[in-house]
Amino acid sequence: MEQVKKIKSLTNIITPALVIVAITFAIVIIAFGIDSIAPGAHDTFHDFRHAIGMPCH
Amino acid sequence: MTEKRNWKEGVAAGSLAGIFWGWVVIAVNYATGVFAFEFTPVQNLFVASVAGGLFGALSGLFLSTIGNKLPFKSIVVKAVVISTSIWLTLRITGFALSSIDHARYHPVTAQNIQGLFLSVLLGCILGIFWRRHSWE
Repeated sequence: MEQVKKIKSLTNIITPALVIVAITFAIVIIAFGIDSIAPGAHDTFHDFRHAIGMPCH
Repeated sequence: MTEKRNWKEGVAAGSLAGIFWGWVVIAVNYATGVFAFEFTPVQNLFVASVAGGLFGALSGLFLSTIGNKLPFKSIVVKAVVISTSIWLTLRITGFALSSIDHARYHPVTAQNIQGLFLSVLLGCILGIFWRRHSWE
C-alpha cells in the first residue's frame, strides 16, 4: 500500500514535468523553425513566427 | 470560484486560451501590417490555432504549477508574467543564436514590439479565461 502511494506521488510529479518538456520542445521547434528536427516546420509556421516577433531570414 | 487548478486543467485552459490567442495574432498582424503574410488567411488561422494552442498550454501549465509561488495577487498579472517570460526567453535565445548566424533569428524591431505586445495579450486572455471559467 505504501509502495503504491509512493509510485502514485512520483507519477504525479514526473507526468507534468514530462508534459512541460514535450510542449517546450514543440514550441522551440515552432519558434525557431528547426527543419532539421521536424521537416517542414520552418515553412509551415513561417508567418506565425514572424507575427510573434521571431523572424528568420 | 477557485483560481487554483491542477496541471491538467491548466493545460486545457491554456490550450483554449492559446487557440483564441492564435487567431488574435493573425488579426493583429493583418491590422498592423508589420509582416506581409505569405500564406492564405485560412492556412494561417489553422497554423495559428496549433501554435497558439501550444503556447497557451505551456503558459497554462506553468500557471497551474508555479503560479501560486509568484508574488502577485491577480491571476491575470501572474499569467502575463509567465507568458511574457516564455516569449522573452525565446527572443533572447534567438538573439544569441543570431550572433552565430546573423541571417537567422535576427531581431526586427517592429516584429519584436508586436511580439512582446502579443505575449502580454496571451497572458491577459489566459488570466481572464482562467478566472471566468468554472471547472466544477
